[in-house]
Amino acid sequence: MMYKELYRQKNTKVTDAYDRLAVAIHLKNRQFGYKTFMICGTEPGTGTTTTSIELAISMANAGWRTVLVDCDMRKEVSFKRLGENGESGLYEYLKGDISEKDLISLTNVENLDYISNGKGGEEQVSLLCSANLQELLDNLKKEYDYVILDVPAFTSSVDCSILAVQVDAVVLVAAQHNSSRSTIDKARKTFESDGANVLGVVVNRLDERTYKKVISNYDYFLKKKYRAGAKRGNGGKR
Amino acid sequence: MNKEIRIDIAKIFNSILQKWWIIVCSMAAFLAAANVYAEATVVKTYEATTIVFSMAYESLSDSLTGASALSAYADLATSRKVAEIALTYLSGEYEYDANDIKSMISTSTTATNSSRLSEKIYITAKAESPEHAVAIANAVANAFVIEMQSMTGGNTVQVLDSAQKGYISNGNEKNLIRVIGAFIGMIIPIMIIFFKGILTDEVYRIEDAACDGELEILAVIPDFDNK
Repeated sequence: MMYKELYRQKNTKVTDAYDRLAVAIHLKNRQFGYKTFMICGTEPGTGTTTTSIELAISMANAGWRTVLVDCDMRKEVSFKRLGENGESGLYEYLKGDISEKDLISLTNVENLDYISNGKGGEEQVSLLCSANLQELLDNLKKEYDYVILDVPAFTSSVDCSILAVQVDAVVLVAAQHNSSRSTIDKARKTFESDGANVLGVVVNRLDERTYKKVISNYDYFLKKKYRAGAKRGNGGKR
Repeated sequence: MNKEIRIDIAKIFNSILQKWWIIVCSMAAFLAAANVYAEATVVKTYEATTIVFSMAYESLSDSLTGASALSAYADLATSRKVAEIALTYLSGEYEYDANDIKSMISTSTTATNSSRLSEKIYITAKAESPEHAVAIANAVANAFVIEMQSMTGGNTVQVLDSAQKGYISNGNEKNLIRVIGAFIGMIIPIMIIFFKGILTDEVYRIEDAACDGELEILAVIPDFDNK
């Protein structure tokens, strides 16, 4: 079985924000039983992959068995944050070249497994529409508490539309000063008209001033007096 | 399709504050351009003033007549006839004709009451050098006195104070151009930021991502430095 090292951001204020997202998603799970989530940026560059990784680590740190699936089979491996040359993954699995057992990588974070996008190639649309993917998602749902799918941005390919209807819920990722309101609305309407369940939106890359207004006591437990004796799980932090 | 335009004054004001350096750079650029324009187009002008007065020491009626004549005919100082006489007072180094002199001269008077016994008018000449302004003001004043004496038949009209020194008359004009340039440099980027703020579609506030309440905001992730 392959092994992957995942790292969190060092800033505890940022990881705290991802913890809040994990809680929000967990509450949806308790309310509606959602287990598979597609994390989709409205436009490229909104920070979808980072959000997916951080969310997956937050969930794993909370004790929930989580698997992160990299569904971006279009991007060259060299441009990917987690990709490695020659690594087999989702693409090879969907083509039937490897088994599910060879697909999943262990990670340095307890409770978190990872599925690479693979070497990539042509036929992404037909592979994503294949029964293999639905079968994989069904199996992952049985084995894990949460399945997080990192997909290409809404405006960059049709892949997200194919995957949106195969997961329990879609989480949109928008970035301040980067995303447009019209694109977010278009993504929502498109997914909903396709029959997908859009859970909500994560507003990423919020400037410090705005964030402090929203989460006024965001650093309350990060103060020295509270941190001195505090023992936090350090899974995945370098 | 009707497109709703929402104006968020706080957002636009914040955008303007955040882009203060663009405004400062624009102001500096326009100020420099205005300075170049002012230096290139505004010619420095000097002015000198000679005072002419009317007063008779011996006769009350002569005083009244002279004062009222000076007040009534003050504009004579700007006539071509006086300018031609003034040319005879100027030496050959001044290459002006009567029309030039006429255009350089202006008069003002203190006259408020026709029954005054004395009167004075200010004859001001504008020229590109202080020496020329002084010479022309004095020449025109002398010519005006001669013309008035020939008209009134007396010598009640005299030069009171000859011009001694020329002063810059249009120093504020250059400053005004500079101020206008800086103002335009400030207002243009502000207007661009303002209209961009009105017309932009980007997510600025957290609520912008909610599509008018259609989407739940699941979380907000800050963009703190990675430390």
